[in-house]
Formats: sequence, C-alpha cells, structure tokens
Amino acid sequence: MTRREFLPSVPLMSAAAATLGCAPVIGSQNSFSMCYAPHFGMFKHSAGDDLVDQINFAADQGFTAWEDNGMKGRSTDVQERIANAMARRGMQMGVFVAHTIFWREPNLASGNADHREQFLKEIQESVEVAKRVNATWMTVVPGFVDLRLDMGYQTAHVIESLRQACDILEPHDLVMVLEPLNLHNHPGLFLTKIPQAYEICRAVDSPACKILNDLYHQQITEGNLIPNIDAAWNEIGYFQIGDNPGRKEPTTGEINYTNVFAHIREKGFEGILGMEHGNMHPGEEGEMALIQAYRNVDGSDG
Amino acid sequence: MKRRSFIETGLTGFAGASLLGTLPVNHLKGRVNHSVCKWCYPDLSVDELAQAAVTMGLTSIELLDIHEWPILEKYGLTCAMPFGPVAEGKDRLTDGFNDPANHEWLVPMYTERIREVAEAGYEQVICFSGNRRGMDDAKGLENCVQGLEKIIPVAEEHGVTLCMELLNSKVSHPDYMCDHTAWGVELCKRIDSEHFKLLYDIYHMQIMEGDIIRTIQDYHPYISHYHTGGNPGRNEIDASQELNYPAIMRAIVETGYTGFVGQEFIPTRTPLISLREAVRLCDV
Repeated sequence: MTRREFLPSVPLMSAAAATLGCAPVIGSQNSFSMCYAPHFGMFKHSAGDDLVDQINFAADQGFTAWEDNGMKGRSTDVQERIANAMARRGMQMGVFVAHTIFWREPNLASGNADHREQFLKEIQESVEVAKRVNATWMTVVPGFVDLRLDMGYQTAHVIESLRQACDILEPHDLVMVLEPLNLHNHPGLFLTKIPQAYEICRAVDSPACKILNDLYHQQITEGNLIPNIDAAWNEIGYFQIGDNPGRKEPTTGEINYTNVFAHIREKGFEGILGMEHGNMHPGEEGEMALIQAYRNVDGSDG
Repeated sequence: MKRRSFIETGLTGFAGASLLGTLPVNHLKGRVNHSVCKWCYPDLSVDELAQAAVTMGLTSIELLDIHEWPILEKYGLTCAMPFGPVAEGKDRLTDGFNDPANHEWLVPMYTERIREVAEAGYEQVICFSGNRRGMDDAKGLENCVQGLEKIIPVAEEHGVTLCMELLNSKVSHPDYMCDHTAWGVELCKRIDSEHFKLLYDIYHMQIMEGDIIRTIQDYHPYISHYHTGGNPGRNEIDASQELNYPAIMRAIVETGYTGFVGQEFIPTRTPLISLREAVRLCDV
C-alpha cells in the first residue's frame, strides 16, 4: 500500500477503533498504528519490577494494548490493579491463557468426557477473569494428538468441545482464539496449521471461536504467511508476533514485518497483535532497541 | 512490454545516463556471488542483460541454453546454473528423473550435457524430479536414484554438480515431486556424492514450508545454489513481500557458502532498476 492510499483511511480506522482500544493511548502523543501488545517483563529494566509501572511505561511509549498469558493465575487483587491501570491509560487487554494446556497427553482430541468437563469448567472460570480484566480474547490450545484415533475423529472431538465452550462464551461476547503452535518447539500438538484452524473455526461457526495466528509459529510450520492471512482472514481474531529464528522482535530474523504489518493494517485489522517474543538484546538498551524496531516496522511516524 | 518502450522507460530512472553499459557500478562487498536468471527479463537479449550485469557487479547469468553460453564469454561472465537437456516433446520440469520411462533420454542427454558444461568451464547443471502423476514419494526417490546413479560418475569425472531444484507445488508447479527440502535431502543422502546437490529456491520453499534460515543452517551441505523471489507474487524481494532477504543472505554467508545466489523474481517496475536493488539487498 502506498502512503497516499493509507493516509485518507486513518480517520475512519481511528473512529472505528476507538471502541476497541486502538485510539491514541491516554497521555501519549505517539501511539503506534496498530495495537501491539507487550507483556510483563519486556520493559522491566526501563520501568522497574512493578506491574503498573511497566504498563505505564508501555503506554508512554505509545503501546495501546497489553497481554498477560498468566493473568488467570494472579490474585483477584492483582488482576483488578492491572485492569485499573490499563483503564486509566485507555489500554486494551489482550489474551490470557484460558485453560490448562495438555502438552504431553491428549485431552480435547481424545473426546474423553472428563477432560472435556475440565476444559469447559476452566472456560467458565475464565469468563470471570475476562470480565474482571476487561479482556475480550482468551487463548485456547487444543492439546496433544491422540495417536490412537484417526485425525477425522480427533477433529470432530475438538469441534464438539469448542462448540460447547462457545455456548459459555457467546452470551458474554467473549472470544476464545485457537493457537496453532510449531512442531519444532512443541512436537505432537493437535493444532499446527492455519488451514486446519480455519477448518475447525468454520465447523464451530461461532463469533466466540476464532484463530490466533502467531506468525512466529506459522513461519516455522508452514511459511506462506500473507497468503494464509488472506485465505483465513474471516476467522482470524488475533495475531502474535515474533521473528524466526530466535523468537525475538521484528527485524531480527527472516520475516519482513514491515510488509506483513502493512498488509494486516491495509485489511483493516482493529484487534491486537501480541508481542509474544523475547528481547534480542539485554537490559534497558535492548528494550529501547525493541521499541525502535517496532517504530521502524510499524510504518507510522509515532 | 516491448523492448523499445523498456529502454525508454528505463532511461528515465537514470537521469539521462545510457541504460546499457553505464549504469552506476555497484560497489559490492564480495561475500556473495551474484547471478540472475535470464527468463525474468524477456524484453532484454542475453547481450543486453550481460552488459547490465557487468555494470551491476553480477558475475553470472543463469538458466541459459547451450547455444546462449558463448555470448557470456565476451563479458567475462559465467553461467552458474545452465539448463539441462530436454527431449523433443518433453517438459524439463514435469518429465524428470522420478519416472524410469524418462531415463532412456535423460541419461544419454545429461551424459552429453555434463561434458559440454565442463568444456564451457561451468560447474553445475540443473535437473528436475518431474511430476508425481500418482506416484508416491518413496517410489519417486527410488526411481530418481536409479536414473541419477548412471550419470553421477560422469559428473564426478568432469567436476560438474547436478543440482535438482526444489519447487513449490501449490502455486507455480502443481504436482511437482521435489517440493520439500526433506525429500531432496533424502535423495542427496542416497546418492551420496559431492556432485549431486539441491537448488534451494527461497521463494518456492517459503510457499511450501517456511522456516528458511533454520532449513539453510541444517541442510546447507546439501545445497549448492540459491534462488530468490518475493512471496507472495514472485516479484521484487524488497519491502513489498514477506521475507527479510538480507537476514537470509547473512545466514547463507555464515554457513561458509561460496556458490552463487541467482535473482529469480519477475520485476514489476523498471526491470534493471529492480535487479540492481535486489543485488544490493542481497549483498550482505
């Protein structure tokens, strides 16, 4: 997209995005063009150990969203403190992990009734967490493959569990996002590819079940990032970021994030892109370099 | 675009400089040997592309047929990846070594071509697996080994490397068999010769499997040539597509690679300006 094409659409995007938290963050003049979401620890050298200080630091830098995989494990008090800090800065909450992920044995893929019950119970609990922290999206990983079952049966079992979870989430306008993971870091998981996640989301057919497209994982698993973004677009609810190899910030690997972000922005994406990656360089300097890398690839002047 | 209009539009990019012969010389770092695929420049003759290549610091034009090789000599260029032979009525990509029926023409024609490549002073020649046509990959491997084994001793004798290209079978070449690095690497292992390697096409493999740098780091001993191209679209390799080519080139250089990198993208802008930009991008 050329600059000329992009600029006139900005007011429209901002107006639409206001309700989703993409409006300029309160107290900062230099917001990024999309809702990139850092996490706790990413800026601890610059902001200190206090969670709220880290959120405020990110807001000062122009970040308009935040994500916290471990939110569900925090005490209610801490959850509320985080949510209040983000509300004060007009920041949007990104994903937290909604349930126990089965890294080594099948749960949803097996169709086992006890595992399904556990999953649904945890989704129910996550509704309360989401409300408390003003989150819309929560991460779901369907767990390990069941080597005793043909893939078709596993897929059907996963779809059934997700449908039942949607019955819990839909009344609250909450969305679980299904995350395919790469087999290099996480061998043996059921959900690995974007076409597979798309197939499942189309079958579940609910606004409460969408895809979390983690571009780091997908570059390892299947490449072809932009064509898959386009092909699965209607089912993608959330992105995560990381360069490959190394899972560090954009510009440190083989993905041309300048263009991938431009493509996502051009499609009108108003959701969150979680910065689920490490810092390439240590300390405060590394944190500033990371922020600068985002400025460089964001395409905004912020 | 017709040749005449190309030259006219090309000129505008260089503020009146004569397009062919006096393009600003690229000051290249010398760590990457740059090559370009002729077919991406249909409006230029081999002579014209050669003149431009020299001014840009390229040292090879590739995917040329045998009758075109002598043209390179007067420009001091090599052909880093010459075309192999193809029998009348056959297709060089889809009719390959995976089908024993093709061996009766592939074996004698490649035997001859290898000698010709060596005589020309070149070091490699391209080859292809052919399409699956219902054949399973294991059978295709066996068939490829059977056919290639008859040629490899000739290649070894003449110091020529047969290089099989990895192509995507989703977008450009549906049903092509050598479409995954793992299959190609297995073929290399079975043939077990320094004179049989893979052409790792970055564009094709980004479509098929991604994980470019790790794949190069893991399998570079089996790779003797690289091709470029932007994905999606197979156009310029700059900020208009999804791969960060300088990072990939640095990874290739770090493996100790001394071969060539062939630019194989279809220019959407003034072709030679796009080529020069691509060479600069890859000159890490």
